[in-house]
Amino acid sequence: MAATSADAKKVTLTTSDNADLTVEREVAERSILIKNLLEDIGDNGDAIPIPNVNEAVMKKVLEWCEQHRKDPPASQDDDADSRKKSTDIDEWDQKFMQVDQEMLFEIILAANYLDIKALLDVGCKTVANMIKGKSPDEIRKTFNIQNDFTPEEEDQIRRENEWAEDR
Amino acid sequence: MIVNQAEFPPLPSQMKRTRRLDSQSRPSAKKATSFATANDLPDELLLQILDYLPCHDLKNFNLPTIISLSLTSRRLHYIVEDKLYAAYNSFFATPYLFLRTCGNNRQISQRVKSLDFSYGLDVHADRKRFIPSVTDRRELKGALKALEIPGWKDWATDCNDEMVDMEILYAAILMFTPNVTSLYIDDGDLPYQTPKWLNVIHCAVSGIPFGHMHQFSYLKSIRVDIGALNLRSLWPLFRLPSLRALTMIGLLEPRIFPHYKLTPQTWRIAPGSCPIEELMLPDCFINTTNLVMLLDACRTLRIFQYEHRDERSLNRKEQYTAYPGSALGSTLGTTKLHYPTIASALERHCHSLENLQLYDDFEKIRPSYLSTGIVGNLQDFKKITYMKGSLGALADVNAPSRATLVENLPRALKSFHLVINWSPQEHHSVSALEHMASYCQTYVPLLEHIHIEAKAHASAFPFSWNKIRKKFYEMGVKMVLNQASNPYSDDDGAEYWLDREVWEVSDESESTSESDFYESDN
Repeated sequence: MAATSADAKKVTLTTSDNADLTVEREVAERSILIKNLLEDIGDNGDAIPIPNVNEAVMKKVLEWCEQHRKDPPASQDDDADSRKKSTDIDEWDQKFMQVDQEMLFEIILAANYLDIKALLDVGCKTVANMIKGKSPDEIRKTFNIQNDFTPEEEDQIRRENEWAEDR
Repeated sequence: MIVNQAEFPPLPSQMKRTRRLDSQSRPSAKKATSFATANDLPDELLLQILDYLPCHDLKNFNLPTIISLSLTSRRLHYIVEDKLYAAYNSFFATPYLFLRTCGNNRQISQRVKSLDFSYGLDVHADRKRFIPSVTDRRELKGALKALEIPGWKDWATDCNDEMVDMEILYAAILMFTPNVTSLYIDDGDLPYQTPKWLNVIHCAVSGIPFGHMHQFSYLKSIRVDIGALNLRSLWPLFRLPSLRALTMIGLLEPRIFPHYKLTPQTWRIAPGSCPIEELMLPDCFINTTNLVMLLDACRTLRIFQYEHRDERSLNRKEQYTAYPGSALGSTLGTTKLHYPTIASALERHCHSLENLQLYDDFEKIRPSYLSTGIVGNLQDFKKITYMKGSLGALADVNAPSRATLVENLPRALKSFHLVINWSPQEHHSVSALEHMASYCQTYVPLLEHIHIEAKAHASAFPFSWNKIRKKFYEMGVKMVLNQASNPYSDDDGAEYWLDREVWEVSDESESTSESDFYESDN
């Protein structure tokens, strides 16, 4: 019943830093969390609090939702195919993901929280591509990760993993 | 990642992980004002990222990247280790070092779920052999000794030999991997008769303790691409209590070889004792007696697939011609399926069978298949939703009535793959299909999809398919036709090549008259 009348309707989202963002309901409903919320509580015009996402990140997420508002919903088969995941990303999404690393991880966390599977996939693919083919040192540098192994541990792991290097 | 918690209890490392998830991910998600780093991603998201970095995918090969991650930090090491050790494939890495790791580290060896081994005379022959150091040798010897298996010293000596057959190392890996769920074997010729991996499984299922070796309690599926093996040595697989799916590709058990005859001494499987639910026998060539023994051995089958193609067996024709007095043709001729016998063996599974594929592709060489009989009525098989078979096996091509085809089909059938072979009898009885199209709502009301594969190309077997297609469509059934338009078209893909060869031999008769061709075949 709500679907036809609410199509062009707008919803307001309140971010963690108390900013109100107003978007078309169709765009906001790319988030399964928001969609379910609207279905459960009904759209009474109240702002929906999104306590885990700040304004800057939410704006970015909504930009993606706007671009992908007409995408068909993910089908059941997607999960079955997930084993053959490729890391190809379409052009618009690639550009969209050209952000600093902090924002990239924020987008991934937000997509996970808001339950936007396609955006989460794009984020994960982007990170996977950043890791691909790198040495341990390069990975540490890229992501600012501390090497917390003792030299003994490192030697042991190296020895255990040697099988995969001998090809 | 793990399907069944009851059968595969969480490993210690995973229990730790769950705790980390609780303590680490929550706070990171809450601090909305400061920015995130890679360390803020909870493990579940890191695992999702890793899904895009498969270790052993030929097109997207990331084993080196996963190795890098495992050396980056403790946290990442923990996260990738399950994935890194979930599978070993001999195509990507030599076995000795993997064996060394499994022998030295029990936690790691318990992570191994899938093993993929290839062996045979020329397999991986171009690869440089790993020469174990003194420490390596000592460690492996110690690990085998700890297993306390009979003959551990011999195993150690063999495994540490520079010229060891890879297959012995694979078998040793199997001894150290108690949680393996899937086994993929590409079998080949060996200097010894029975491969050691089968010996190891034999020991595990024999009931006599074999040192401290595990008993393959989680091994659920095995796929063997058969080179030299036969049922006389494969029987231990049918004794594995956890096995649910067995695929044997290219098993050759034609009747002519006396040593393929199974007796209670060589086939030690009691009827109905084997828990396999999915038995797939693609590209095989098995005589009816042995096939019935396989069907009898299984308690309740959900999937049964037997497909014979001449391509594979003809490739190995030296095996046939090696027997004096057995011309290729007559050898093949003695191994026809007898459908009524198979059908009565299938009755044991009539309450469980969901998927039945029974297809014998030999008629183009031996077209007189009249002695094979037909499968008969399958209406008692109430669960079959998918079926593949040839028209000659399903409809009595000699009977005057065309009604038998649809009347014999299982009522719950949803998808049907029908092959129309090269034989003219089958071509003549294609009218059974018209009858089927008209009456499918009565006999197979759930049918959604029919795939018709005509072996003969359209110029040799012309038929106005559109009429049938339309009729099926009116009944809500989608029909797909697969027929090459002429003998030289490539419509049929790879499997067409042999067809072409056969055709070229008979090209002359075909060019003079089609009926001549068929008659000469009869």
